[in-house]
Amino acid sequence: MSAITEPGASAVSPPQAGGWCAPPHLLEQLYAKARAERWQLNPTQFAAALQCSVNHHFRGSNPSPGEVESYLRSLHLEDFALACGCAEGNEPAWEHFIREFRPVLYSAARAIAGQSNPHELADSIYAELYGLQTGEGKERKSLFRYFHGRSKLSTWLRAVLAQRHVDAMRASRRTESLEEGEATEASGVAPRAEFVSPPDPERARYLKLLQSALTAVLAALDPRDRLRLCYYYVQDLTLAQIGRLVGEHEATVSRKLGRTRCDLRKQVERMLRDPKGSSRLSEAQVQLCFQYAQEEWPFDLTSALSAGADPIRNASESEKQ
Amino acid sequence: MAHDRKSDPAMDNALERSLRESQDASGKDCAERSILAAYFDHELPTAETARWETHFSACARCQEQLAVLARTESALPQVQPVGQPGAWRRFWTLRWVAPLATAAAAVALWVAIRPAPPTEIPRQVAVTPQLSEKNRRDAGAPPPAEAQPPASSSQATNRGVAEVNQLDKAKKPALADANASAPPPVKPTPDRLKTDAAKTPDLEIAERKSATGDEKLAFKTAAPHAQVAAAPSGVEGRMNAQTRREAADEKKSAEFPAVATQQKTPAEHAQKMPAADLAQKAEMKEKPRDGSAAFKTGTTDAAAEKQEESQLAAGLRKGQAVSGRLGVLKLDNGQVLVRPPVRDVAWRLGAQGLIEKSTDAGKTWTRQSSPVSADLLSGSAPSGKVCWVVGTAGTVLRTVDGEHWEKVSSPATADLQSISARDQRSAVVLAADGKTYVTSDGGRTWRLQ
Repeated sequence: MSAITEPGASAVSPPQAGGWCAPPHLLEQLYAKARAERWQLNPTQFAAALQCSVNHHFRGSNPSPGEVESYLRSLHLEDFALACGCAEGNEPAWEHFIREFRPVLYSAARAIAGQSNPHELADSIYAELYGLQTGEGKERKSLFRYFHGRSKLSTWLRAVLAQRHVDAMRASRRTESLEEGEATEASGVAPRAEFVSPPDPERARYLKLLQSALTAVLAALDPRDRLRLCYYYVQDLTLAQIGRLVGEHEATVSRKLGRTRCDLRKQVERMLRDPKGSSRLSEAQVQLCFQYAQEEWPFDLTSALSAGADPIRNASESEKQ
Repeated sequence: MAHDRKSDPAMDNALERSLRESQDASGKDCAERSILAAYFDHELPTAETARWETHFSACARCQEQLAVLARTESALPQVQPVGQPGAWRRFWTLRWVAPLATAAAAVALWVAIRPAPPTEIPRQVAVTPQLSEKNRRDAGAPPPAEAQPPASSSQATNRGVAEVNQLDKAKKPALADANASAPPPVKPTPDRLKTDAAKTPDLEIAERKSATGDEKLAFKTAAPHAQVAAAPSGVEGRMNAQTRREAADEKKSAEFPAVATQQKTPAEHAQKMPAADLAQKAEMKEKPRDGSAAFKTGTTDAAAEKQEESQLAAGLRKGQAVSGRLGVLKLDNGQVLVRPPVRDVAWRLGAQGLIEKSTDAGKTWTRQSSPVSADLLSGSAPSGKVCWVVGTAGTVLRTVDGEHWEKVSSPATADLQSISARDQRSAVVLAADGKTYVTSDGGRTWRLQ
């Protein structure tokens, strides 16, 4: 298995964050609050772990002592102490983890992987948590070293599983796409050969204009509104699940989605009708744009997004060529 | 505008395709697992959340991971907190803080305004520990053998006091049974006394508004028969309730100086009442003669009303079959005694729909016509005319004139084991399955609390 890595961080000897050292009274308070002694974690080990978390969070910046203290007090200290105890290999910590968190790990794996061998996913994480994957002469590196206490330990474990699962799925999708592409090249059939050329010669142009206008308004959309749309249209989440992610009631999510969609449509129509714009479509033509979009959407927007700031102008220029 | 995917399929289709194809699939600069987990737990600061949401809105990889977290959350077992502080942290979530803080404030208010408890509780008071403050003072004259004699030693005075003290002695078997079997004087709970102390002005006003007859019997004075004649029991007189009360008060102050020292005259009472209560009383006088008026204005807003309902329901759940101004006693023979805050009136409930009423402090009982044959388990009488009764199989009965009973709609089919009523419109019932139901329209509709 590959070594345990996490982007942008290292588990061993991180650089000091501005030379900050925790004042003793703060360390005592945090140690007591975390009840770290239950996991046979001595104050020195606990302080070192806290230092690591601080360095990781404030890397590249020079925080004030107040900011650091505020950050430390915001941590899930009990979970953090448990993770530290497990990372050290202390038996009481592991006993508690196995008793309380192993069911969570396996339930999450089952929920994520479905029927396709969830135990394999969970067992791989379990082994990395313990730190079995060591090279010769190297110290044991537990995955727990990457838990910095900013969330609940159960959520972090699920995030680990989710990342593994998503990366595996994306890798398999890329492989399938490549295989499909090869197959279609061999057969001489285009990948998306679903639509048949309509009688309207303007259809392609209308779709392109609509595509450009929509891309432009989406780019200008508030990130949270766009994220809500992505969760709904791309990730296919329910309103409740979206609400859970963005911290809103599902009724609020529904209302905002509807309002965003309505606003986007108005903006797109206005852009397409704009006499000063490059499209200058009539009302009937604008409606045709949407009608064709409902029927088909064969284009790849990625190349359009990599173009300049005025996608509509670019689309018009490309027509003229 | 709620989101409906069917209302604009063209736009839905365009959005879906556009969003899918506009996302960055490279996985560049993606969030670490710690960040994803902290974001999911809403632990990130606002600025950091906004920064990461900008990335998430264009990153397919991060969105997919977050989607996995959202989809799988419901499938997880609960994690036992690592330690006691964690459990307490979970307990002290916002969901619990507000009602607990409200309850703590209510207890503090009760402590601040409660009257001094009497040093001795006469036997007749022990039967109805939840008498209103005024009635408690009325009945609080100590037995002649035990207390200091009144300043006036007239025979009429002594006879009056003796008659008062003999109300619940062996002559009255039902109430004597209650005495014998009654638990020791119950120390009023905060809920009850709060309702007592806070509601006494309302109760008095409600009684004045709704009372027409016998519940205004107070002390049996030197001329007890005259007093009785003035307000014969069971007869719907049309005397001005307030006039009768004030007259009775004046007589009491004249003939029972010792008691008078313990009891304020109406003028004194009004003088010492807080301004808010005075204003409330003045307002109440203009309200229609409806028991609901006390309820409606006794609580100044919906929130306070809801709070009081919650307290009543909490009292029911704790096993207290009483609320502020009423008494319910389980008798040895299984029957239930329901006492309103009015002297000499009581209802007795039993199996197979049995309802009996006494208006002479239990000397005699009159069976009343009951519309049900279910076993009746408990009751609540906020006044001498209004009484609610509950029983098996969701039975709820109510009388608003003290005589005729009607079956009201049932909130549940389960046995209803206790009820707490504020007036003829408002009540809270506790079912055997632990659920609590509230009505504020006389039982026409109920809502689960």
